[in-house]
Parts: sequence; structure tokens; C-alpha cells
Amino acid sequence: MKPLLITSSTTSSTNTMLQILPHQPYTNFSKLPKSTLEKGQEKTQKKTAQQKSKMQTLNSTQCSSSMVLKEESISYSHPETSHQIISTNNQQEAAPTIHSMDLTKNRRVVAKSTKTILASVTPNINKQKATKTTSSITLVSPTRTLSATTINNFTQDSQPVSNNNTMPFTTVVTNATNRKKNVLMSDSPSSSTSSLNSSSSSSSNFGQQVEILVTMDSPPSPQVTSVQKNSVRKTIKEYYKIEGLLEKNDEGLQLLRAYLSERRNDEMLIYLESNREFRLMRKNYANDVNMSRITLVREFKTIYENFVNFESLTCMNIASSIRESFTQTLKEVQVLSQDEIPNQTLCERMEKCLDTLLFNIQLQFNNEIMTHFKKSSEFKTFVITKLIELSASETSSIMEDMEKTSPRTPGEHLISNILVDNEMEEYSKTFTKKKLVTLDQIRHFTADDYRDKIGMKKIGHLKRIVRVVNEHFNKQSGSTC
Amino acid sequence: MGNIVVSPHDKEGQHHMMATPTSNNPNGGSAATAKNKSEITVLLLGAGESGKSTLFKQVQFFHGVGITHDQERIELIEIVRLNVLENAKNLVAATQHLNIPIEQPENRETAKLIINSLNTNDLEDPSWSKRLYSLWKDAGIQKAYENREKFQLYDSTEYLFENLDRICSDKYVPTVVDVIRTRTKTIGITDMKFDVGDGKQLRLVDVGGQRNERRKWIHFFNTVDAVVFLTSLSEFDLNLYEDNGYWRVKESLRVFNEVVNNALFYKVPFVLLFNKRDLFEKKIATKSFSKYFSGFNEAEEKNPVACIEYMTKLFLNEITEHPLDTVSVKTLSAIDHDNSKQVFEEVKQFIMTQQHRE
Repeated sequence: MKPLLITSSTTSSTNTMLQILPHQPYTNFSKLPKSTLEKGQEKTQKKTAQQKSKMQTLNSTQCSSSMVLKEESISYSHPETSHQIISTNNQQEAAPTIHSMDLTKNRRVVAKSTKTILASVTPNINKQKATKTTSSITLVSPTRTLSATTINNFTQDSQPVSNNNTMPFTTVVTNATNRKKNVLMSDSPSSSTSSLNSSSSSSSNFGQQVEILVTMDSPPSPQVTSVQKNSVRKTIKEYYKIEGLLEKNDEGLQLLRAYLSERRNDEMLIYLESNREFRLMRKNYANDVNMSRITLVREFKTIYENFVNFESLTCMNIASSIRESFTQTLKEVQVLSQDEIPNQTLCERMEKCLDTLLFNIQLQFNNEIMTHFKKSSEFKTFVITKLIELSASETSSIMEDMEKTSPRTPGEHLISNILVDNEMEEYSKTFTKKKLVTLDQIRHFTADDYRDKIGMKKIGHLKRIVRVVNEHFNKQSGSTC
Repeated sequence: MGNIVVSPHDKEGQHHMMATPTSNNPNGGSAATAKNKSEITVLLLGAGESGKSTLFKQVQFFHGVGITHDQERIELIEIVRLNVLENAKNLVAATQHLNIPIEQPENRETAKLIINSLNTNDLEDPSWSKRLYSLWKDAGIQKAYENREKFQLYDSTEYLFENLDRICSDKYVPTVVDVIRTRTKTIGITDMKFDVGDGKQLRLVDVGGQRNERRKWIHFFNTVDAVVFLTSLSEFDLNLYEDNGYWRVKESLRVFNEVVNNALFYKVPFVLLFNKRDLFEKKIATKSFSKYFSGFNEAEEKNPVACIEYMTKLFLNEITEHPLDTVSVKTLSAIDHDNSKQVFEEVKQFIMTQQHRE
């Protein structure tokens, strides 16, 4: 019988070769998946026997030691949880199996059904209205201080008194607002000077490119430049965060959705959207405590069933501590009869669960999804398009506003505009160098002045600029008369 | 090494990169529609925290993409610091849960701040380096750390605390090792391609390992040419991140059973990598291995080779359908650059040999 060699590669000289004798036929049928069990013991044993003869010799060039593993019965258990593999009869605790993965084909259906659930819960909410009001809504609202009591107990000099054994380890969120701020800051394209510079090399180039695009627009005055730049920057910056994308709810969000759907990775986005809808609903019921609490119960159940429960196809990747706190609270929620209004304590517990979940998902989303999404070519193209679009519309709207509030005199118009309109923009830089910006400054310029001071040599250009400047002032004075 | 093609969510514009990015489509783009023999798709599978992404980052690194570049790593400052904070919070919470007092009053003050208000921006202040290090060295925290199997804590905790003086600096730029050792839970799918000679490209696909993430694996199964299954040796005393009442070894065995015996993989080369060998060797020096495996000879429990043999046998016993001659077993320490490079090279050769045989 050929032994199975297992190479163990390490950088040090501890490379070892393990020589393993053929293993016993598979005897623990309780371990097998159901489908395998159905094939029968006979087939399994036959297969195993065939495998015995196919022992494999692997790369053993760097092996320095070998040993023979004796055949022995295999049983093992976790002392803390008493999981006895050898007698695994508790199929209920089994996680979703690979065999059940086919179900994910219905993922989109589930996403739709989640919407349906939401729709059924929100019969009185006009979606249009809800969308319009989003700008005034803070998506993350962990306004409640969480588990402060336990922390205070702990931090007292009298030393920890463990009065809460179910305290989550991974997510102790006592001042979520502070951490949230931090997440947002960390995730923003740049928390320092240039809001659009992301820090990768390509992103950094991209940032510069965007910066150039902003400055290229050459708004008419420094005041406009500053206002416009800030406004466009602010708008574009919002697209770099999931909170901003959700709030805008435009093609940026659609792009993210498509990006995630393509990767079968959209459960968190569906959750965030559901969460947003529910928070809107609760806000609408702010003056009606009972309705607000009933909505909270519905929200809690919906979020649990769709995004926390392992059985759900849109179950999210969250820490067990969060899942446990949901499960424990759910037990109390399920005791309530239909439309029974939960008490204040239970409401606070539900809110704590929901806030912790939201905080963690946003953190994950910004750290693990947005970082990749921001680098995608789709997103970069979108941002550039948006930037051009915003810059153009901002310039025109700002110009219009300025015209309305303080109409410019003919002399305040820009030389650069005249040059561009008359295909002589090549002289723009020279005018700027000579600190000639407005038409007032060149109102009395002759052809000789343009030739000597600006360096215009073409007679056609000299004649044209003199004519255009004169026409401009004549036209403006005519129109004002 | 040959050309690298990275998907759009990886860095663009790197000097090695070819013009064509990999498909973002989990089905493998062109590979899904017509099996392209010039492309070998290798899936990195395994339960959560088995080291798939660490190996993936190492492969990126020795192909000169991703974290090789300073700018790429600068982006990860927040994540490294977030790891520090989460570890600190988990440890502080654990002292409370395990009823272990933090001994020094000033460390208790630090703990209070960590829980209540500290954020990653604060870690730019070098004074936090001393405070956090002092907390880390507190006897209470150290005792909680010794009992870390009772709560969730990142493997890199010790490393991060020992490097606080660098991390808590306003000029901090994460090193490659920092990034390799930083824990970031993989959500969704990441892939990269590189040439392996003979006009072939190897497409390496990294996926998330937690239960909900495993549902996404199925979308790759019909296009896969080889599977690299990772499992952590050092998880023998730990429970799952996503289900704290469930033993990690049991989960790994179950996932391995389901993957290796899947009919779609019968003819596919299969590599089983026992990862975190370094941590495992440290761990068995202080923890009992036989306590978790009743069939294991207690006298051998301090012998890593014997322990690894036993683990190997456990896993191989799960193979009921897959032909054993297309299964390779190796050990790995994915945080070790040289070891990762060597093992990955061996894995690549094994896969290529199997491909030639076909």
C-alpha cells in the first residue's frame, strides 16, 4: 500500500513529511449529507475502498522527517459547547449547506419580496413623499446611549461587576455617534484639503484630474470660483459614502446596486434601504407613540427575518453577538399579541439592537465595499460625468443669480469670454499675465496697444478685437438706454 | 513573473498590468459562457478567518500589485487603526465578562475612554501609543488575552499592540506586514489574474467564508478548474464569529465535506491547506490539544507534527467521493511572505500538473 505523503512547507528548516496510512472506511454516516446517505452505505464503502488503492505521493523534495500515523477511531468534541461530531444528530443547528445554495438563484426574488414586505407594512406612506423628505433625515441615528450602565459599573474604581453576561464583545457601542463621525471622516475621499483626492495612485491621479476639471471652468470671479468649487466638491463628496448615495437615491445608487448585484453582494444595500424606509415611517409617527412602537416591532421582526436569521437568503455577515442580542430580544417580542404595544424597556432594547446592527453594517459597508466600489471604473466615470454636469449647471446658475442680484456693467465683463467667443483664446494667458481681466481695462486700447502690450501680430486679430470691444460697449450702452 | 491583470476594484495603472481587466461577473465572464482553456480559475475556499484573503494579499504582493504600493497601503490606515480599537474594546469588554479586574487605575481610565469615545483619528496622537500599550500590558488585560478562546479576538492582536508606536503616529504609513496582518472581513468576491506560462493565465478568486458568504460560492462552481481549501490549524479551541456557540473545527469539516464531495469538483484538483501553522505551534505549547479531540493521544499533544497529522486525518476522512490522487495537502503560515510564496508555487505546480494530465 502506498502511503499518502503530506508536505509541510515552511521557510525554516522545519519542513516535515507526514506519512499517513490509508484511513478507515467512512463509518460515521451520521456526518454525511443527506444526499450522500441516500446513496447508501454500500456505495460509500466501495468508493472508499477504491480510494485506498489510490494513495498519493506528493512533493517531498524538502521533507526532513516522516512519521507513520496509526489508524485510530476519530472522535472529537468541543469542551465548551459539547459538540460531538461523532454523534451529530442535531441537524437543526446545521448551517446552510452547499447543497442548498441553489436557492440563491432566487436572491433577486427575495430582494423584491423584501420590498413587498416593506410595502405591505407601509400602506400609508407615499413613497414619493418619503423620497423627497430624505434630505432631512439622518440615516444613522444612534442617539441613544447604549449599555452605558454596564460600562459605568465597570469603569468605577470598585472594579468590574459583571451584571450583564450577554454583553456583545465585538460591538460595544456606547457612543456610536462619535464612532460614526470617525467612519465618515475616514471614508471620505479626503478628510484634509482636497476632497476629491482618494489616496491610491490611480485615484490620486483621478483626484487631480477632477480638480483640474473644476478649475478649468474658470468662473467669472474668485468669489464664484470658491462658491462653485465648494458646492461641487460637497456634492461629489457625498457620492463617496453610502449615506450620501442613499440620500441622493439617483443614478449613483443604481450604479452601486448593479455593481453589488453582479457580485451577489447586495444584501447589505437592501438592508440599508429597508432601514431607511422604516426610520422614515417611525419619524412620520413621531407624534403618535403607539403607532411608532408598533412600527418599531414590525421593523424589528422584518429586519430579523430578512437580514439576521441564518435561514434568510439575504442574511448578512454579522457578528454572533449582534445575532444573539436580536434572538434574545425577539423572544420577548414574539410573546406580544398582534398589535399589542410593547413597553418602553422592550422598545429600548429593540432600538439598541437595530442601532448596533446599523452602525456595524455602515462601518462594514464603508470599509469593505465602498473602498472597492470607489476604485471601479464605473464609479470613476460616473463621478467625472457628474462633475462636468454639476460644474456646468453650477456656473450657469451662479452667473444667473449674480446677474439677477447685481447686474454687471459692460466694463465688468470678462476679456476671456470675448476672446473665446471670437476664437482668439490663445491670447488669454497674455492678458492674464498683464493683469487685464475685465473689458473696462482695455476699453480704450488701440490696435497698437494690442500689438505692443499683448503681442498680437495678425492684422485680422487686431482689427477684430478692436471692433468687438467697441461693439460690446456700444451694444451695452444701447441696451441700457 | 508574468503579467498581472487585476479586476477594476483593484488598483489600476500599475506597471505590470495588462489592458484587459478581469470580468467582474462572478460567473467568470467569458469563462462562464465558453470555457476558455487558456484561463485556469482557482477558488480559495474555506470557513471564515481561515486565511484566504491573507494568502490572496500575499499573492498580490509577490506579483507586484495591490499593497506593494505605498498609496494603496495609505488607504488602509483607518482599517489598521480600527483593528487596534476593536481589539482593545474586545479585550476591555472581555475583562468585564470574565470578571477580571484591570489592575492599574490609569489603565481603567484608558479603558473607559476606549469604550466611550476613542476613535481612529485620536490614534494620530502619539500619547495614545503609551496609554494603549500600558493597557495592553496590564495584568488584567493579559489574563483576558490568555483566555481569548472565550471571546472573539483577531489573531493579530499581539502584533498590533506591539507596534503601537508606529501605528499611533501622524506620519504612519502601514507596512506590507501591517496590511497582511490586518483583519478585514471579505464581503463578496475579489479576483486577480496572472500569467503562468504556456500562454495560460491563472485567475485566483477570493471569497468571504462566513455562512452567508458561502451562498455566493455556488456561482463559481461550474467554472472552476481547481480548488484551494484553507482551514486554520489554530482554531481548535475557538467558536465561530457568526455563531458563537458553534465550534470552528466542526464548521470547517462540514464545509470541507460539502465542497470536496461536490459532484462538480470530482475531476478538479483539490488542495487542502492547513493555515496558521505558526499560531498553532505557539498555541499548543500552552493549550491542551487533546482536550478537544478525545481520540488523540494526550502524550503527543505538544508535538505539532502529530497534531497536524491528526487534523489531516480528520479532514481526509471526510473525502468520500473525490479521487484522492487529485488531492494535495500542505501546511502554511500565510502571514509569512516566503512561506506563502513557496507554498503557493507548489500549489500552482500541482494544479498545472493536474491540468496537463487532463
